[in-house]
Amino acid sequence: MALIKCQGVALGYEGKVVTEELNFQVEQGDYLCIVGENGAGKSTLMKALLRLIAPLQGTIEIGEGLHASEIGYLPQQTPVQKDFPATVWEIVLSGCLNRCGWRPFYNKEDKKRALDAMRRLEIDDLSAQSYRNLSGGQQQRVLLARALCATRKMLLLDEPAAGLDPVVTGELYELIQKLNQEGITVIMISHDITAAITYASHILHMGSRRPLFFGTKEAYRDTDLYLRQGESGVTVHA
Amino acid sequence: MHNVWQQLTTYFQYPFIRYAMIVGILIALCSSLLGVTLVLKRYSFIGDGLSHVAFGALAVGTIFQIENDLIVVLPITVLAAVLLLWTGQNTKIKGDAAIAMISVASLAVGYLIMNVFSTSANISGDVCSTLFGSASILTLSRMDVWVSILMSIVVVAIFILCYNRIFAVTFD
Repeated sequence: MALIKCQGVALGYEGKVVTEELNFQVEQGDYLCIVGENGAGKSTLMKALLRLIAPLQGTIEIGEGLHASEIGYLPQQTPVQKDFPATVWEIVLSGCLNRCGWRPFYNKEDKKRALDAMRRLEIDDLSAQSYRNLSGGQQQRVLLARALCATRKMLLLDEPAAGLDPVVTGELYELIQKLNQEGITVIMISHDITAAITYASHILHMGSRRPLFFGTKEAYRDTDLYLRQGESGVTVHA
Repeated sequence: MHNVWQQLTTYFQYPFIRYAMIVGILIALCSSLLGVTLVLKRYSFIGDGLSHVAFGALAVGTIFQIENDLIVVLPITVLAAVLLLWTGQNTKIKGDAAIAMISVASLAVGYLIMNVFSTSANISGDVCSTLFGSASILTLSRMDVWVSILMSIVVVAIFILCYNRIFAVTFD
């Protein structure tokens, strides 16, 4: 059985449909890239996968012992976060909060987990630094480490490369690919079709009202959708 | 130095100075703990807004001739705070606008109520003493001091127990 299976899902706010007829599934170890224009419902789909909003129609099944609370989520950064005066360590550690339950404080296991996550993302030397003084790429890594604390299985990333320069963006994608190869399922929203084709294993292309394509990236390369974007050169870099 | 010490001991002979000292320190402690979160959440203005709500509540308490105003003021202010932070998340009126609306409205209602149902002839005097005088830090009763101590203990305890959660909520 698949980790996530969406059947005939329609999503929207207050009865207004944003997107419908979503059919796709994500297997263990997949790297799914969700592309599509602004307002196509990509972030809404993320929220539905996290069970923050309910689908208007259809079902979203989460299988194989994966709880919605066990999914690591990296949202788009808010202005408040950009100059948040806390140390990197505190922020990464706060990713373990969901595991605490009613326990008011973090235990040794949580701390070890946070340290592991920071080592994996190569930010353990920044541990005592203030988050607001970091560069955009470093901040994104910290948030990724935080999301990693919450999960061993699945990461949802909402435009992780937004506002980063090409070099840092490349490094971030390499890191995410490394995590994926270590066995974590990744679902990423991106505007960067080139990167999506390079790194992802599956592509979900969302149009206005309905999805236009779901399948492997090899199949996507042959579709009109991809060719058209290649020709007109409108590959949008996030 | 000796002179300063002598003067201080003279002052501390009076209970109202001791009360003021205790309550002042406690209020400073609690507001510094909670203030950081509010500033980071961009709710810096909420203190001002809530003080206006408290004034409105005080006016209501006064016209009903309730001896201990705190019984009315405390729950209404807490309710207003919850309402403000709650609606701030997901409505059309964002945090700062909601605070401005509620604070000005409650100030106006408070003044209106005091004017219409005035209990004494000197309304402006009443308003003035309510706003600046009657609950001054130098006129605290023993009861007020105990309430402050108790509330501070509760605030600090909750803050320590929920620190990690408060941190996460502030960040997200």
